[in-house]
Amino acid sequence: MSSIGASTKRDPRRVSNDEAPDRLLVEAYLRGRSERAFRQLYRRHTSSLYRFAVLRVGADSAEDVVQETWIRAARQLHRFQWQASLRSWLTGIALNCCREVWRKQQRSPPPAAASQALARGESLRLDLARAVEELPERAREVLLLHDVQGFTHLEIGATLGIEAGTSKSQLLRALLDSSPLDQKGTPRHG
Amino acid sequence: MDDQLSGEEREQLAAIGKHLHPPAGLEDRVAASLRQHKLIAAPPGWSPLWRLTAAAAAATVAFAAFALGVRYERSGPAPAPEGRRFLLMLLEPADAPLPAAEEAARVVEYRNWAGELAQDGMLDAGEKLAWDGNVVGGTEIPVAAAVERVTGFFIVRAESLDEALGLARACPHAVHGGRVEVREIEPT
Repeated sequence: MSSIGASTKRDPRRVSNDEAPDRLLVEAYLRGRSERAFRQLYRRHTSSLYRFAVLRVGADSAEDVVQETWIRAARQLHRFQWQASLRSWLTGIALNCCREVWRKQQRSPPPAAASQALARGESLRLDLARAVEELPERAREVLLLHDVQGFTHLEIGATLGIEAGTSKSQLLRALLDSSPLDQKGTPRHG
Repeated sequence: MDDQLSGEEREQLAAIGKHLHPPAGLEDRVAASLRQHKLIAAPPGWSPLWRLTAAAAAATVAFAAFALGVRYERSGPAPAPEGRRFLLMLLEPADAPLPAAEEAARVVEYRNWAGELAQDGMLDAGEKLAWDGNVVGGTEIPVAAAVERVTGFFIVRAESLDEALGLARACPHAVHGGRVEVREIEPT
């Protein structure tokens, strides 16, 4: 996982309500490598991980990314300190797996899967989808984590290893750049 | 934060990929992969009823004995995450707080019990509450004025009120003689 900046760390003793089951399940898993506990962790987080993977590397590689993410997570869980949410920690691992997929393919990251989403009949406007695909890599990651995955800037910071403020500025840039209208209100695309 | 996207565009963006769901067989493939890497170990003959009874027995001898009386039977697979949600409020007499040592032991018991629920996908949240607090609105009073205090809560998933009541009866708090108020959380 990427290193986490000081401002993205949180007090590990602070547990949000919806995180309590994660902690209990991780404890149960670590006690005896419980398959039952693992499967519950899987069910709690895999939908989000899978969606993220499809959006980053496409459906063909997404299953491999999810599988590799869980293998790495299972190996490292005993070192997880809860300074980020489990969700953002897992997404950070998934992001690294996605980057390795890109490296293996020796090409730049594929466009965000807005076009895939369109191909499946979603109503996302073409101009917005195109604009998202054309964003710089980091800005696109921040935009997808924030607006698609619903992450907070603190979680994005923990996932990407950047400051929460950097996440905000990247999002602003992404939003400005992905708008179908330029800053004067003129349509960017035809 | 100001931005240039309209509310509709933000909604469209948030909707990207909502239709994407992991393939049904992926969970088993991932589990098999972890098993191959010796990262999970599933005991044989691990049936749901046996698990529940074992969990109860692990809590305390008293709890185990009681569990035979309130055996909770569950049919079919664990409920889907979108199942009905119930709040279990743990009530204690306001004039009889537990000694610190006993309370610490109880916390371990509750944690074990909640851990079992979590592994069955039936726990959404659970917290211990501080003994003191205030009631605001109208005449502000400390909770000390109440006959009973809510000392903790769990939010569980169940298919019916009866099932939630069964869970509450098996909760260590009820097993030790405490009262547990069960209320369904209504969608708003």
